[in-house]
Parts: sequence; structure tokens; C-alpha cells
Amino acid sequence: MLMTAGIVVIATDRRVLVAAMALQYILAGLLFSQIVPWRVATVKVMAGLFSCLVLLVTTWRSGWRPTRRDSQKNTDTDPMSHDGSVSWVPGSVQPRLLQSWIPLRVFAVAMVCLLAFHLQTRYESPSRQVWLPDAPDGVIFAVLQMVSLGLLVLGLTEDPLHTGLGLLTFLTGFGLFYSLVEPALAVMAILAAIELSVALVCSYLTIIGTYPDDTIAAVYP
Amino acid sequence: MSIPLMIIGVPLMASVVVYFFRQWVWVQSVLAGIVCCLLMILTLQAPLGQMVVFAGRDVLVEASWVWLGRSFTFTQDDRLMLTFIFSTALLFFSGAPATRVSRTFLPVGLAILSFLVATVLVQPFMYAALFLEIVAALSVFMLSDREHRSTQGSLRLLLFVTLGVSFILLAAWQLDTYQTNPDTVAILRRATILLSIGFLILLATVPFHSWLPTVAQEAAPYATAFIFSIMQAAVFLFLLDVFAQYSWFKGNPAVPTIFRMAGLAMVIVGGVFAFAQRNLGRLMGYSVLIDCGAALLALGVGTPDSLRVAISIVGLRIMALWVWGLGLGILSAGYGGEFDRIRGRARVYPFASAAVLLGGLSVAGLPLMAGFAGRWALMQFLATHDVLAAIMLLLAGVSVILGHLRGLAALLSSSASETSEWSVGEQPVTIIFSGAGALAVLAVGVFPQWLLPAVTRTVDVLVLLIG
Repeated sequence: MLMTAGIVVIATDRRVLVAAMALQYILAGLLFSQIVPWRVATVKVMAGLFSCLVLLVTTWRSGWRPTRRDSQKNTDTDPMSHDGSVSWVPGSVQPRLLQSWIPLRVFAVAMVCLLAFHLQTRYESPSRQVWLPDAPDGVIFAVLQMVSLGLLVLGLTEDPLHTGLGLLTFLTGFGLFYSLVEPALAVMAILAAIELSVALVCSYLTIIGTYPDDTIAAVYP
Repeated sequence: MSIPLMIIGVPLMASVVVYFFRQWVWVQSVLAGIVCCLLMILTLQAPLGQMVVFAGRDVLVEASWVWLGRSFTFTQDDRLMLTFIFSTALLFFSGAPATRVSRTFLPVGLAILSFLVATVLVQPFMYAALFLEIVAALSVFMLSDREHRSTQGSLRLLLFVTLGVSFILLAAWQLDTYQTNPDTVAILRRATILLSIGFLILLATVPFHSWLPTVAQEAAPYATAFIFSIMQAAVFLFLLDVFAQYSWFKGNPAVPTIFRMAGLAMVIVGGVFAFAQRNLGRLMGYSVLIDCGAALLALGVGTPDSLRVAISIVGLRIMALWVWGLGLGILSAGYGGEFDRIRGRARVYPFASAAVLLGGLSVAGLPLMAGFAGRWALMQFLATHDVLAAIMLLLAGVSVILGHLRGLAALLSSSASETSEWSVGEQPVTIIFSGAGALAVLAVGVFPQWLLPAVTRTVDVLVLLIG
């Protein structure tokens, strides 16, 4: 799971991102099955995979690599979300940032993983009972990894699809944690519905960015 | 017949039906308005727990509906909150044909209405946070469309609500733990911290406020006004519900201080940035930030009277936002809200311009506007409790007013390429709604005694519930 969440942070090819997310849902499902009945865990995995399917269709329609819209040229802060056709201003720091972006992300992932590991060991016992519930081996570490790496993605990108994957990673981690403390079926169902709606929202935002300008009349009667 | 199932399910089903009429906004608006009226009648008149004759058969009107082990319960206390939500939705849905809204506005608005009702009825009520998250996700479909493609504001809204909801759910877990360990006060302390952080994020306090101006700049104005009204009001009602249910939270002396400081930070940041804005949308974003800060300042004073003021501020803001959204929807169509791009538009759209100006000035708390009533009452409280906050609030209001005056100057100025003749470019329906809204804002401001007794009676019931 560390690998899949790390790929979600570092990779830029949307096919790789969605594949990593799907794998992460399957692995999270294995952890879920240690906490809740396997039928419920299966439903969670199915909901996650359906979210990935939605995102995959979106990437198929919008392109495997994000393109930068003219209107967002000045606001998009994620150099790695641009295709190679972007022409940088001569002398700007952007090309150097672009070159150092992957090492920077790898470094950030490493730092966040270390932080999560530290948190897990720091709160072993007895204070662990205060903030962290009893859990099967590895679950708390996976939760901390997914939550922190999800937040890292949210801080690094403004591309809707990549942001959506970061949010889904965060929500998967949080859902895993919350199933430890509140295994109620209704809560798990609503959390799954939230994950699906986040996937739909991010797909929608990605898709509307790809429409040509002459389609405005189709929206406003 | 389960009342919760009906008032949650009917708007959701109606949203699907309304979507099929997406070519005709008028039809959508009428249908959505009828649904809101029916729901209001049902909410106010439903005989809970009694047998009624329906379609020739005796039917028991149930006040509860159980779904996957969690219940949605409709009580007498919920009538007021639900009526408030439905009347707000009715206001926005009925005004939709008078401005420029996307085809998804009304269907998505009805779906949002359904989940807002769920936030009020769900038990345990802390799970309302989950439905707020769904509301935030749905609102993205309303805020971003093919004309308003920038996604930053919508994404930030979703992110911040997700973070806020996580903290609220963690607080709910701590409260469950407290029920099994009632002697452990530390659990309550942790729950207080988590609840406070969660609400500070959900209420868009500084530094979690960036979605407010960004959404206001990027999104369709009428949809923005709807989301600002309904989302902030829902979170505020949720917070009041927490106050009502958990006396230890309300009684913790740190809590009012936290909210007062957060409110003051919102007022200062909004005041600093509002004047410098050159976009009517962003200006409104910072105006709403200040107004939300004012409501939190009132909440932070911690007396029943200040609570009345806080609720009044939230309620009166809705009318102003509606008028503003109506006007800017027309003014900014195809142009955006930049001052440079709307030069001279008041000469073509005088009624829409007046609506934008009066709505904006009302949110700023200018005297003789609807928003002034709440702001004036708050200033009186702050004058005795916190003079510094009163001065800051006053300066922030002045900053917003100056920003709007700059906008007015841009609207009135004539560009060389356009005619300097005055004309009326709005449709008759826009003139009627804009004029009526602007007059209502002025009337409530000039004659607050017309509306305020009704508002006070309504607010008093809420205050009584909260204690």
C-alpha cells in the first residue's frame, strides 16, 4: 500500500495513477476484511473499483496526460501536470523546477512515510489507546500512510483528477480507521457513497475542462 | 407513511424529474417551487404519530425512518429548521428564471436540499457531517460548468469540507468512547478540540477560507449565492445543534473564545483584502467572510441575546446574497465580474446593477440595508464586550463598502466603444425579481420593525432549544 500511495503522489501518467489506485483499493480491502465481515469489505472494494472505473473512462476521454488550459496557465501550480508542449518563459525557474519535481516528490514521500512510521511507533502504548484504537497489525500504519500521502497529494497538485486520487487515498485511509472505531453499516455505506461522489466530481471537473468553447450555449438555455 | 423518508426522498426524486425539463428553466423552476411549498406544508402540518386518512385508507404518520441501523427522526423542534431550509430553497428556485443559471442548477439544487434535510434528521446527529460532505460534492456540479471551468474553488470547497468532516467524525468517535467511560474528562477535552477544529474548517475560518473568494470569482454568481447561503447556514445550524445537545461543549469557556478569535481573524482578513479586489465576485467572497466572522463574533459573546444576533445575521445574509446573485448573474454573463470588463454595464442593465450593489452593501452592513439590523445589534454587544473587535468590524464594513463603490464607479463609467445612452437591457422577469429583491433589502433596512418581530419570534424558538 505504501508503494501504491507513493505512486499516486509521484506518477503523472493517468493510466498509472488509476491502476495504482485500483490496486490500493484491493489491498485496502484485504485490511478491511480483518476488521469488518468479508462481505462488507467486498462491497467497499467494489465501490472503490467502480470509482476507479469512472476515473479510467475520464482519463480515456480527456487524455492520458493532462493538458493545460489557456485560462489556467497562470494559476496552475503543478508543473508536472502539463504536457511537454508547454513553452516556458526563457530564464524562468520553471524548467529547473520541472526537472527537480520527481526527486522532490520522492523526497516528500520518503519524509511523510518516515513521519507516519514515527507516529505509529510513538503512539504504541499506553497512550496509543487515547488516539488510536486497537487494530490488527499493520492497519494503523497503513492508515497513517494513506492519510498522510493523500494530504501530500492535495498539497502538491491542482489537477482535478490527481486531486481526486489524493482525496480518495485520504478517504480510504480515513474509512479504514473509522471502520475500527465505528463499524456501523450505515456509516460505511455513506463513506463509500462519498468516495464514489468524489470520483464523479473529479471526473466531471476533468471533463468540463476538455470541452471546446462553443459548447457554452448547450449549458445555458 | 414515514415523514423523514418523504421529505428526504421527494426532493431527490423531484431532482430526477426536473432534470428531464432542462430545456425549460421556467418549468424546472415551477416544479421545484411546488416541491418546496409542499415540503414546507408537510413540515409544518404533519401530525406526527397520528393516524390520518390518505387516499381512503387509514395511514399512520411515522416520525422516524430507520436505514441500515441509523434512524432519521423528525421532531417538533425540527419543523423550524426545515421550514427555514425549504423557504431559502424556494427563494432561490423561484428566482432562477430571472437570471442566468445552468441547466443543472435546479436538479442539483433539489438533490442538495434532500441531503440538507438528512443533516437535520439523522440520528446520532453528529453523522450530519457525512451528509454535508455529499452536499459539498453535489455543489461542485452547480458551481462549475462549461462556462465556469476553473476548478480551483470547487476543489478547495470539497477539500476543506472533507477535512472538516473528518474531524467531526473523530469527535463523534470520542463521544462514543465517553459514553462507556463517563469519568474520563480527558475524552471530552479531546472531543472539544476535534469539534472545534472541524467547525472552524467547515465555517471557512482563516486560514481555511480560500474557497470563499475563489468560488465567488470563478463560479456562476447565482449558484455561488445559493451555496454560500445554504452551506454556511447548514453548518451554522449544525453548530447550534451541537451547542444544544452538548452542554459541556457550550459551557467550556474556551469554546466561545475560540470562535470569537476565529471570527475576529475572518473580519480582519476580509477587511484587509476586500478593498483591493477588482472583481465583484471576489469582493462578495470577502464580504461573506466578514459576515461569517461577524456571526462567529456574536456567537463568541455567549449570551442568549448575542445568539439571536448571530442567527439573524445568518438569516438576513441570505436575502442579500439572493439579490446579489440575481443581479451579477445578468451583469457578468459572458464577461465575468472583473471591474475592467463590466465598465458601463449599468447603462445597459440598470436593475441588475442596482441589485448587485444593494445586495453587496447589505452584506457589508451599510445602514438602511437589511444586513444593517444584525450588524448594528452586534456592534452594540461588542461595544461593551470587545471594543477592538467592534472597531475592526466597522473598518471591515467600510472596506467592503469602498470596494463596492469602486465597482459602482466601474459600472457607471462609459467606455469609448459602447454607447453612453441609458437603456433597459434586462428581461421583464429580471426587472421584476431584481426590483422586488432590491426593494425588500431596502424595506427591511429602513423598516426593520416589519420583519424583525417575525425573525425574533423564530430566533427565540431556536434560542430556547439551544438554551
